[in-house]
Parts: sequence; C-alpha cells; structure tokens
Amino acid sequence: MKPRTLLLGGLLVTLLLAAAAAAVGSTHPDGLEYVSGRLGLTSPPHQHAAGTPPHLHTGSVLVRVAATLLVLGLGWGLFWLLRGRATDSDGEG
Amino acid sequence: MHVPDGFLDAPTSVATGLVAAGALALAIRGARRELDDRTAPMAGLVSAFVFAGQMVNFPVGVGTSGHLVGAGLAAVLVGPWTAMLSVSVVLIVQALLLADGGLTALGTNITLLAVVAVGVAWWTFRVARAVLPRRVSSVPASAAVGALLSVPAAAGALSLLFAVGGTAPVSIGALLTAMVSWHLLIGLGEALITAAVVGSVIAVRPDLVYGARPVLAARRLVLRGPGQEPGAVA
Repeated sequence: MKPRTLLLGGLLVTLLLAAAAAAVGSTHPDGLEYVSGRLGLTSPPHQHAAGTPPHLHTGSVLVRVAATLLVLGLGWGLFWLLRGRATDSDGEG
Repeated sequence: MHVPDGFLDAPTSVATGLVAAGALALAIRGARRELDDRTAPMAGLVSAFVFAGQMVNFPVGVGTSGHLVGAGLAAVLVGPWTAMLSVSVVLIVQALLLADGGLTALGTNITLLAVVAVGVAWWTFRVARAVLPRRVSSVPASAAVGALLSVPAAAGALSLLFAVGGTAPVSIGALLTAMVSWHLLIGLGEALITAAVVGSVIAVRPDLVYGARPVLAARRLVLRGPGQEPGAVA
C-alpha cells in the first residue's frame, strides 16, 4: 500500500470518528470526573468534548470535524518543519 | 483524564507548566531525529486521530467511561519525542477551542499525558518488545502493554501532584487507589485500541511504524526461488 493511500484511509477513519463521537460515545463521566465526584474533589464536574460543553451543542459535528482538521494541519505543519534527515535505518536514540 | 482549572493550586500548576515547557523543548530536539519526509505527514495524522479518539468515551464499569489517551499509540507509531509533541498539540487545541482541560492546567495536562504517559508507554513498550519474540507481530502486543500501563501511570502521577498541591482535603491513599484502579480498567480499552491501530498499520506498512524499525532491521531476508524451501539467508 502506498503511503498516500494509508494517509487518506487514516484521515477518512479519523474524520468519521470525529463526526460520530457524540453518537457512539458513552455519556458517563470519565475516570477523573468519576473519582473526583466520589471523593468530592471538585464541585462542577468537568465535561468532556464529546459530552455537553454548551458551545458544542450547535453544529457539533461540524465543530468536531473542523477541530480535527485543525489539529491535522497544525501537527502536519509542525512536524514538516521539524523533519530532519532521519532514515529508516536510524536507531531509536 | 483532563485536569480542569482549580484542581491543583497555583504553585503546582506553575511548576508543572515549567516541567512541560522543558519537556517540549527537549521533544522538539528529539523529534528532528525521528521525523523525515515520509513520517511527518503520518505524525500529523496521528495527532488528528488521537484528537478524534479522545472525543469518544467508551463505557468502563457502571456509570463510568474512559477515552483514548493515545500516548502509547503515538509513541509506537511515530516515536516518543514526536508523540510528546503530538499529544501536546491535541491538548493545546482542546484547552483553547473546546474548553476540555483547564487553561491554567495545560502544563499539568501536558506533563501527565504527553510526558508521563508517553514516557511510561514507550519504555514499557521497549521492555515488552525485548521480552517477546523478535517478530513484527510482537509489536502490537508490546504496544498494548505500553498503552495499558501508561494510563494508570498518569493517574498515579496526578494523585501524587494532588498530594502536593491539591485544592481539597482528601486522603491521598484513597485518591491514589481510586485513580489507579479505575484507570487500569480504562487502560484495558486503551490497550485494545492501540493494538488494533498499530496492528492495522503494521499489516500494510510496517516500515512506517517507528517502534517496528529494530525488528524490521533484524529480520533476515529469506530468498526463495520457485519450488525451493525457505532457508537461503542473505
């Protein structure tokens, strides 16, 4: 498989995951929120991005996909700038 | 496991911010040795996948859920230094755009998820890879071990930070026990996802998996002609 095909396939899976996050994800609190609630560490429970932050209610699929593309762009740009002369045979340092 | 604002006191948040800044400076130097023209796009995609994966909570036990941290996944796919940067990019965007994790806790979250979790995942992966048979198929299993332990390690580190700078009176023993035990369960989900993704990439392009490079380099080239039994080694 060509690297470009792998990247496009990975991007498709990633965007589908982002778009479907709210529909397929559990709405229960995550581990930190659950433990915090049980032990009384914080008052307002922290909300996860896939949960119910108010600004994500409207157009949330679009927001999640756009944010995912933003991370892709930031990461790609950063790593493209940082890329060196490493080759396959380079060790793990 | 995104620490919100006010969870830790100001001095602890500042201290973890300094730790995170120092670690990211080191990671920028280290990532230059890991990245090349072929792996840089892959690293960008890994960031996006971790970001999307962190938005999907999977059920854990009764009334609780967990989500992918992605530290082990990123470390094995693109290398530990690049993984630190990758997870940090995710955490920064989450904090700035989605209010997922506090802004004043950004240094804490980077320290826990990009430094501690990636570090534990990578070194545990290396130990598991050294112990398991030297085959490409051992890489996803080793990655799963690293991912499994990275989550409770970060949870344990957060409990220790809370012991130093927590903003609520609570038994540290109780906090440590609850955090590590719940996140060990979440780590099982993390391990399954990590093994599945690393295994999928290895199945099609093992050369693009950073953690598989030593195994591929050591693999003997077997030359086999038509009708010949394998055995000739170059």
